[in-house]
Formats: sequence, C-alpha cells, structure tokens
Amino acid sequence: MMHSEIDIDHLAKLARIELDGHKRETFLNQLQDIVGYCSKVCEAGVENLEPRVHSFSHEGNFWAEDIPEYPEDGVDFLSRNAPEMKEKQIVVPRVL
Amino acid sequence: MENLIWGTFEQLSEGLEKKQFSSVELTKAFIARTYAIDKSLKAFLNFDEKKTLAEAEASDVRRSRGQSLGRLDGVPVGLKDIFAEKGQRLTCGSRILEHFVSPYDATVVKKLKDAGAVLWGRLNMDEFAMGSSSENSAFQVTSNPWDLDRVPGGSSSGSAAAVAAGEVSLSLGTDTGGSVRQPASMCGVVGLKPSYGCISRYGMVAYASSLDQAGPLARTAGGVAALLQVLSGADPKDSTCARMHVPDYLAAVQSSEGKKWILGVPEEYFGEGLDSEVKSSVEKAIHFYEAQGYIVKPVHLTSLEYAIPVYYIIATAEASSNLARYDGIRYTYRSPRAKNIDEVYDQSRSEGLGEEVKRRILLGTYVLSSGYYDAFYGKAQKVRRLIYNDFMRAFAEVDVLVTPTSPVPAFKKGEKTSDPLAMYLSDLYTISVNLAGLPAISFPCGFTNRGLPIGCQLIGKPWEETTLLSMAYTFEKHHPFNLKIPNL
Repeated sequence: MMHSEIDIDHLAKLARIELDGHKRETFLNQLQDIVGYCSKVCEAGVENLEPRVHSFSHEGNFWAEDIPEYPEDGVDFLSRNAPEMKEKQIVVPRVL
Repeated sequence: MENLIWGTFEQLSEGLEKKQFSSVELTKAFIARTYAIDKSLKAFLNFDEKKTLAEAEASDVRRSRGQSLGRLDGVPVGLKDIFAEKGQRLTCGSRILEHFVSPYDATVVKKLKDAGAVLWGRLNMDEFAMGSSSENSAFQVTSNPWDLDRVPGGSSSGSAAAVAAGEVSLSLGTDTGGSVRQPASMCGVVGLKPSYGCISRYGMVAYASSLDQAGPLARTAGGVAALLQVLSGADPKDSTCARMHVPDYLAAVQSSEGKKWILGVPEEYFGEGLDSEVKSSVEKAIHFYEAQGYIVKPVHLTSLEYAIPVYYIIATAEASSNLARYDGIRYTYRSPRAKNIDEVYDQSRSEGLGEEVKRRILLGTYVLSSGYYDAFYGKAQKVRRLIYNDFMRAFAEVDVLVTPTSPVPAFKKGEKTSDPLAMYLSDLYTISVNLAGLPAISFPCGFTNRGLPIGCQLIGKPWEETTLLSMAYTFEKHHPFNLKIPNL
C-alpha cells in the first residue's frame, strides 16, 4: 500500500480527531503498516462467496426491535453525566 | 478466613449453603486480600466496599430465612469496567468516561443481582476493550500475578488478574477478539467466550457489536459453568440475544464426564511463531485426551492467515461508528479549551481518547471511506464467510478443535507497546472464533520454566458450551494447574 494512499488529514477530519505534527507522522506510519498487512484480504479467493455480516449461528430474532426501558430517574442520571446542564437541558456552544 | 479466598467456586458455594461461613465473612476475606495486594497488582479501578458488604449482609439474611437464591447467592463476583451497574462509575478504561455514572443496570448485572451475587469492584481493562495487555488503560497497567513485571493479557486484564490473585471468586469480562481467553491463559484461570447471542449485550459498552460477547472467568470450569447459567438467555432489550433453552451447565458438565469426543488439531495453529513451551504443553493436553479415549484427528483451517486482517477491518469499522457518540456533549468529558461546537467535538475526542482507540477509529474510518470500502470492508465480509465455512468444514469431521490460546506466555510490560501490529498478532489464535460466532474456552494446561501459565483453547460448534466445559473439567480433575497459587 502506497504512503500517498492514506490521506491522514482527511481521515482525522472525518473521525473528528486532532493530530499534531509528531502524532500525525507516527499515526501515518503505523496505519501504513497496518493497512499494508490488512491488504492480505485482497489475496483471498472469495469471488463466489456471499458476505457474512454477522456472527449468528441461531435462528435469530434480529430483525426485531430492541425494547429498551427508560429508568424513572433517567433524566437525573443524564444530568449528572452531561458536561454542562441548565434546566434539564444539555448546554452546547452556540451553533448559529 | 484467609484460605477462603483460594476456595473453588464449588467449595465456596457449598460452604455458604452449609453455613460453614457467611457471605460477609467470605466477602471480607476478598476485600482484605484486595487491600493487601492491589497496590502492586492494580486489577481494580475502583470499588464500593460499603455497597458490597450490604449485598453480602442481604445474602446472609436471605439464607438465614431459608430463601437462598441459588448457587451464586453470597458469592463475590467482579465486573470488568465495561458493564453498567446503576449508581456506580463506568469508565471503560477511558478518560472520556472517567466520571460517568451508570443510569441503569446491564442485563448481566440485573441477572447477577437476581441470583444474589455480591458485586465486588470494577476491574481494569484496555480502553474500550481495545488491547491485549492492559497497557491501553487510561488509568493504570495491571500486573500479571505470576510475574509483576509482565502483562496479564487483555482487554479483560483486571478480570483475569483479580481471579488468579484471589481478590475475587468469579469475574465477568468481554471477548471481541480473545479478550477473555487471552488474559485467562496468561493469568492461569479458566475463561469462556460463549456463542454469539448467548449473553445479552444490553448495558455493555459497545466496541464491535457483531463480535462483542460477555464471558465468565473463574479458577475452575465449574465456576465458569455456574456463572454462564445465570447470565445466558434471551433478552428483549437485545434482539441479537438468542431465544435459547438454558441448560443447567454445571450439572451437565459433571454428568457428562466420561463421554468421549472427536478432537481436531488444526496444523496451522502449531506453526511458526508458536513458543516451544506453549506448544509442548498443549500437545501434552492433546495426548491426555487421547489417552482418555478421545479420537484425535488432524484438520486444516487454512483461513487462519486472514483472521487478523479481517478482524482489524471489521472491528475497527464498527468501532469508528460505535465510538462516534463520544463527542463532548453527553458523556462527562468536554475539553475546557473548546470555544465552538466543532472544537467541542474535535478537542474533547482528542483529549479524552487514548492512542490505540484513535488508531482504531482512524483505521475504521479508512476502511469505510469512499474508494476503499469495497476493497477492504466489503472484501473482509466475504473472507469472514470463508473463515466460517472453514470451521464448519472441520466440524463435519470433529466435535471440538484444540489449539493454544496465545502463541506466547505473558510478555514483559512495554515489550510490544511501540509496535501495534506486533501486539495485534498476539491474538492470532483467538480472533477467528469471534468472526465465526463460535464458543471457545481457555483453561490452564501447564507452566513455563519461568513459572508463567500456559492456556489451551477448545473451540466448539455453535451452542456446544457444555462440551467445552466438560472437557476442561475433565482435564483439571487430572491436572489441577488451575489450583496453583501465585506467590504475591
């Protein structure tokens, strides 16, 4: 895999991660090694195989919706976990 | 009471039932042990002693009234810091969740509470379960109980180390590519990765959702069986959880002793890169089964060479999506430098997430990005099918596959931290199991000359957990490596 094929700045932007100069070089070199190793999948003869996108070995009910429960005191707990709250609303910097 | 901490699950459960000791006495013994050694071991991220002792007292009251909830009632169980326990901190080993408090109980936690288990502590882990040594935890590096200069494996590092060191009787970890089995192997305990869909993932922080599965650890196969029984079964809150009949695993394991299965030995798992002492110990385990009357056959799993590439494409792709939620808005950490919404996202993630997590998010973003999706992610899904087919072909001839769990025993701290790819390769023998959704167990099968534990892995057909537990149970009855005690 060629060095130029990994646009590290574009990836960082998509992933919302800041990379300074030193980190940028380190990550680029490491990703280059890892992507090079992962390119091995291209050698596999799988032309006639269907993709396997899950790990189920059972007749799943996986098209069913999850049925979550909301704890009665959920808002209080969320309040405790959000970095900034005001009148039970999460505060974010102005966007407009 | 100090020797209580070295009792097997079966002995402790029976002792509680016969009122030879109380849950409070048992729990206090584990707490005392934790205070005595955890400054050097660093298996625990935090604990709530008062809450834990209250749970033990409640168990004793139930028992005194003849209302025991079963085998697990009063037995201390440790949790990897990835499971939600209402009112307790849940960090997932990450700065970005450092002050997060769980608003509800994970299904596994609810099931443990319903079974009367005493929940003791939050156990260290590689950040977001990404790692094989605990060195990716944002807070501390756990030591291996058998050699404090070495790693305990990962990512369920604290879960394995705490059980091996006598800080807790049973523990729960998670296994996305070997994160229960590899640390179990390196710490000399038994660890099971169940079939995908066996245990609910509700309330378990997601890393790679199509691979993640909770798994029990204990010093005996019986302890693992008892914990599995409580944790298994359908959950309306997790549609990937199978609607299955939950057998009495412990009774089934004990009653199936003497049954002989056909074992497959995949040649590819015994080649280059395998430590000679690990190879020798696993081969001795195979010879033991053969001497017991099992049929041993060579098989081939040629897709092994693709396991790590496929895993690091699929797992990181799923991680890049799952971890997008940590954006500085809802989950405790927000960068104090951020002045606008873009800076909140970028700076909070950059300051709150560790190096390995960022590396995997970037890799996942790459394999999903335009121009590379088909070449990497699409192709990997097809190779995943190839790996699954390879296993099913082998299982047409044999019942169980026998392999080493890890190519090497516990390595020195810092030995692989500068080379991520070398670290990834330490999971070579465990990763395929997750890609195929199969059950697999690691149990101690020997020690190196340096005194480091060696793990043997048994891989089963889907939903054949009982077979794996039975085989591990048979082995440990003849070779009690699992009962050796580290000198701490």
